[in-house]
Formats: sequence, C-alpha cells, structure tokens
Amino acid sequence: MQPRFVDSESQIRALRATRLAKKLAGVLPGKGAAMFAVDETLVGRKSEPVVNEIEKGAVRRFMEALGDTDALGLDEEAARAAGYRSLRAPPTFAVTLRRNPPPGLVMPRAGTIHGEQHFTYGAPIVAGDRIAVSSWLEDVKVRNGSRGPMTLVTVATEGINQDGVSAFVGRAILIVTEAAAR
Amino acid sequence: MKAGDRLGPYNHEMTREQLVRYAGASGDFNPIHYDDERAREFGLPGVIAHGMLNMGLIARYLSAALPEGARFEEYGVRFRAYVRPGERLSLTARVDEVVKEARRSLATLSIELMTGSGVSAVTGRARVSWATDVEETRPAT
Repeated sequence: MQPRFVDSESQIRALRATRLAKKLAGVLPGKGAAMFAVDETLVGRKSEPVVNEIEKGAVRRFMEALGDTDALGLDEEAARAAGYRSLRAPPTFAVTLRRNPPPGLVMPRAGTIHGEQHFTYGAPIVAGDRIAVSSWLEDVKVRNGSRGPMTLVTVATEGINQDGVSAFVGRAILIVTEAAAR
Repeated sequence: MKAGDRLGPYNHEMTREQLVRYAGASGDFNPIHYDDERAREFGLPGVIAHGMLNMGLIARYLSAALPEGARFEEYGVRFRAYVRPGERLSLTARVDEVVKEARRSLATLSIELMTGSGVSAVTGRARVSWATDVEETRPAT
C-alpha cells in the first residue's frame, strides 16, 4: 500500500460517489439504493473510432504473456511463408486495442466482473494493420444474483481494418454487483 | 480431426507473474488483478486472473493442437468461477462437428477449463477453420 495516495484516492472516490448519486437520482427516482443504472436510450450509439496501428512488438509481448509459441505470431518469416504480410495476432489480441467507451456509458473503475466474451472474426489482424475500433452499448439487464441485484451490460466492439474489412466483432457481458456500484 | 475427438487435458498453473505480464501486455490494469486488498473490497477472495487471460490461454493451447495455420472464425466463453494465482488448471475440448468444404475444413469445439478442485471455471465454444491442403495434425507444444 502507498499511504500517501490514500487522501487523493478517497477524495476521488467521494467525488465519484456524489456524481453517481446525482445520476441515479435522475435515472431511478425514488429508488435510493446504490444500484448501478444505465440509460437505455444509449443502446446502439457507436463511439468515435480509434485507429490502432498494430505493432510487431505488441503482438510479440502479448504472445509472450500467454506463453504462446505459435510461430505465426512470433516469427515474421514463418508468418510470411504462411501467406501473412507480417506477424499474425492471436485470437484474443483484439481486446488490447484502444477504443472509446460506448457514448455516455460510465462503468465503475474497479469491481466490474467480466461474465462472458464472444468474438466473430473476419480479416486476420496482422502487424502493420491500422484497425479502427468503435464500441457501443448493446443491452442492459438487471438480475437478482446470490449476492443481491446485479446489472448485466453487453458492450459490443468492432474493429475495421485499413481496407474497410471487419476484423472482428466482440461482445462482452459485464456484471456490475452492488459492491462495485457503491 | 473428426467429430468426437477429444483434445487435452492440457495442464496449466496460473501464476501471479503471469497476471502481471498479462496486465502489461493487454493494458488491463484493473486492480482486482494485482491488489489483494482492493480485490477484497469488491467481495473477491483476493486477486483473480483476468477473464481474458483465461480465454487467451485456452486459445493458445487449442491453437497448438489444431492443424497448422488454423484460424478462429468464432470464439465465445462464459466465465463461471474465479481463477486465482497458484491454481492448477486443466483444459479439455471436444470436437462436435467437422465440415469439409472445397478448400477448407471447419470444426466446432466445446471447451472447458477446470480448476484443480474440479470446478468449471470457463466453458465455451470455438469454430475454427484450416486449409485442407495442409497437414492434418501437428504435435501440441
């Protein structure tokens, strides 16, 4: 722990709590609970795309973090011999690409649990590509779990490469519990 | 590769070092993956592995078992239980279907990642494809 940061951290937390309380007062009138709430009119609104340049070093570092020894993601010659222009990124690399969050969606900074993840792949992601990534809110559901109510937020993400071809569409179901919403 | 084939079990020990490396490589610095105290504030038993790390590891082991040059067409998982550092994981997959087209084959796999105590941590499905003029198998790494 770093005690010298505690003051500013707690201030940030207090500020965030106030902001959330104000937001909830508007969204859920009469419900004083610390439920996480999402404005459903935001569904389907795409965020401004962020262009990601796919770097060889980033692909290699990601492979190494997973202990992945597939030559297509580590050895450029092997990738070329297999018909790729450069290193081929592994399937879950898409999650590392920068994107703006869905417009208006503010998730708790910590404590959100990733419940499900799904990808549909198009063109392979290869080093040197420029992938424009945007995201949007797709669905919001409230469920009663064993530890109280939880909000299930489906966030979709799409990456389109420099040739205008979809490289992937991702869908994440994020679970916000009471503890995280506070 | 044909319907009914089983892949694995592939064993993997999750380590704290891997969580830190994955945080760095993926850019996911959510403190529940490196700060025990913050993780407990959110009702967790301590730090847990990133769901995407589990998903990435599954893809790594499957890629190594698939015909050379295979690619994922679709890949979806459900994260069912927390995976903590020190956990000895075991991955198995079953080939549900193989469809041979003119120049490629497509296989659908069911996947399960279990903890050492036999709890199902991640389940899912993948649809993979490979060119049919390449070797059918290569050894797992």
